[in-house]
Amino acid sequence: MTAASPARQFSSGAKILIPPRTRQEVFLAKPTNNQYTVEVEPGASLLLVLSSLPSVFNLQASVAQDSSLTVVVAFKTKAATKFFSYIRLVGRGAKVKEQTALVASQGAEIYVENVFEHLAPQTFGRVVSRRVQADNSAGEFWGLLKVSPQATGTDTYLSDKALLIGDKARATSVPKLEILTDEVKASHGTAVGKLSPEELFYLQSRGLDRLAAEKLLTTAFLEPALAGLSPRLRGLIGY
Amino acid sequence: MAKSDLKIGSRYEYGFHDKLRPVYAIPPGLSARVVEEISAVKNEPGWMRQLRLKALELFKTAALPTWGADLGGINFDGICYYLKPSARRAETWDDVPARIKNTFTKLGIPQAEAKLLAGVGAQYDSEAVYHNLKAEWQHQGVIFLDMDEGLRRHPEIVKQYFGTVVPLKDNKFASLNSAVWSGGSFVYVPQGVHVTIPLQAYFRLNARNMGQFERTLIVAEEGSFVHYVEGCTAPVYAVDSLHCAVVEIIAKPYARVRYTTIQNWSNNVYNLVTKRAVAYEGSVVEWVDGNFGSKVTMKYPCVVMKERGARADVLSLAFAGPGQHQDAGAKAIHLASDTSSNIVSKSVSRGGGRTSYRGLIKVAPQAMNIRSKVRCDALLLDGDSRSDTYPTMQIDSNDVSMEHEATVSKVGEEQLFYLRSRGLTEAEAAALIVAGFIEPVAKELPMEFALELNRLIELEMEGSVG
Repeated sequence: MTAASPARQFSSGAKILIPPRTRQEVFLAKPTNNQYTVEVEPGASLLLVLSSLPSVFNLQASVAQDSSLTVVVAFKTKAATKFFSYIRLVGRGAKVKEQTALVASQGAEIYVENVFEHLAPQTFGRVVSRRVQADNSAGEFWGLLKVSPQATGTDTYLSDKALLIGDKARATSVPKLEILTDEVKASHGTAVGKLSPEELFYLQSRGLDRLAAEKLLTTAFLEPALAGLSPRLRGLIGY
Repeated sequence: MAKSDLKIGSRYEYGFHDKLRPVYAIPPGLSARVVEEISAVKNEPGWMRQLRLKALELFKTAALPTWGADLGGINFDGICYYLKPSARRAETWDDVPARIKNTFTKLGIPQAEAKLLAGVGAQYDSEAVYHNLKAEWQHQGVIFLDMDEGLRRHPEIVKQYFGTVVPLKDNKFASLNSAVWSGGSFVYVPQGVHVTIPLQAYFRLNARNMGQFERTLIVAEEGSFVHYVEGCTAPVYAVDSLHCAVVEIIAKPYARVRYTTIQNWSNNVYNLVTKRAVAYEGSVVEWVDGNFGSKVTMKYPCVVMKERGARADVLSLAFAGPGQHQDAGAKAIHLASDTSSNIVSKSVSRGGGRTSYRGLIKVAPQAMNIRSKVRCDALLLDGDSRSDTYPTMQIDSNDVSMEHEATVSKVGEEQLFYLRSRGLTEAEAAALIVAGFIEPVAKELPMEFALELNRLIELEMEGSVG
């Protein structure tokens, strides 16, 4: 099991700075750098969408007072990919959503590490991870929601679901909570399973062939991790 | 070690200790000589002595775990590894020395006896001094002895199973236990026998600087049923002591074994226990595990489902007060098809206490049709306390339905307000809410234990609000 790494300090890499009280959408079809630092200044908002990742990708973000950050990572891969994200909610009322929709096939090994550190009062965090593991792919998700003593009134939740389609597909999930204040709503839920035979049967009884039925159910499975995206962005990322 | 922590224990209900003079004590410290002496004093067969020495070597080379609670405060050389309280083994209650009896009276043992509980195996210091098994079970072939006696009378069964579930090199503390074990229970239930009344053992640490290393082995033959209950209370001492037990359960096909523990260690005890069961075809293993007190508890009852259709049920309860860290959880290892596991964990932290849930669900590649459900709820009673959840789900088979959920919350203002409006004080209201929170565990306990649990909660909750 890979352990969580503390704050990563990047010496190089790309930087995205969102000035106070501005609103931006950033779409990266092919990130050129493998490390990004994001700063969302007070009252600002950023939607960051990534539709592919290099084999190792680091994202470090800091979210200031009353600002919001939404990260959507959606891609299909046949190659090993590691995605590390470390997000600090440093200002009162900071809001972060991180959504990952991944489809891994062939022998791809996927590792996703996701840390939210709530450092200020009234912060809000949501992690929605949906992973489809096809063929003999393997996926590991490692998530930590950390609520510091001063982060009172925090509302944070992590959800990780893996759908095992391949005969030799494997999934590991390690969701963690570290809660150091009582004024908090913190929870997580994870599930690992396969496609429901009843649902497949139902769709087939309505005239879909097996493959189409599987495709439809897989799309529905990924949907929560794509919620909130405009049709234009969905078109861009190919969902 | 912060000495101030120990003041907290001054309210501890069972915080008395008798002036007990052990008949035989080996000086503190650990060496091959000490291990050989323990084995010699007990007149053990050679293979057990060899096993102890081998375990000692493994203990010396093993490292402390790099994860989990802080174990830096344990001084292995300051611990007394064996102590025999009474030269003669008591056969009936009347034979038990008055001073020891007095301690049991305070713990309510004779009442339990009066309630027709099973044989009361009470452990006073390292060795059971009192054992009583109901005649009808003896007739059925049920064996319920302390482990030393079990080894003496049934060496063939002990040799067959000892160390097969928890190997000597499993972890540092299992090695230590294997090297210096003393006391604990030995339960053997023959094929098809249902032990209807729980077998019960009371454990008690009662010597300054005394580590307790009991070893429990339960073998349930095909189609049998047994419920083993243990409760632990320890008096308060100023020197850190170590409780390091190993429990091994073997559930043969279609057997059902339930193991219930309510532990209430004093606030200076390191409670490091390895509990594991192997479940064969269609068998059911249930751990009900309540952890109170202690300075540090690390305990993760485990069920290894080796054959088709086995089932694991774990109910875990942890309560951490000031200066305490309860690192508890459960492990379910699915090695065969059609196996299922259900884990419910409830934890309460107050006054700066820390509870951690640490768990593992593992599904082997060839295992099909697996169901597993884990639910962890944590209650934080104040802003100084801490709650962690560290689960790991490792699924290597695709025919699985696995769910895990965890929540952390505090006592609801509305609930408190409502109860206070009905005339309860804030402390009473908080205690009632906590009792409701842990109810799913409490209702699985035998009645006397549920009552004791409620008393403990009230005690632990004293002064926790306001």
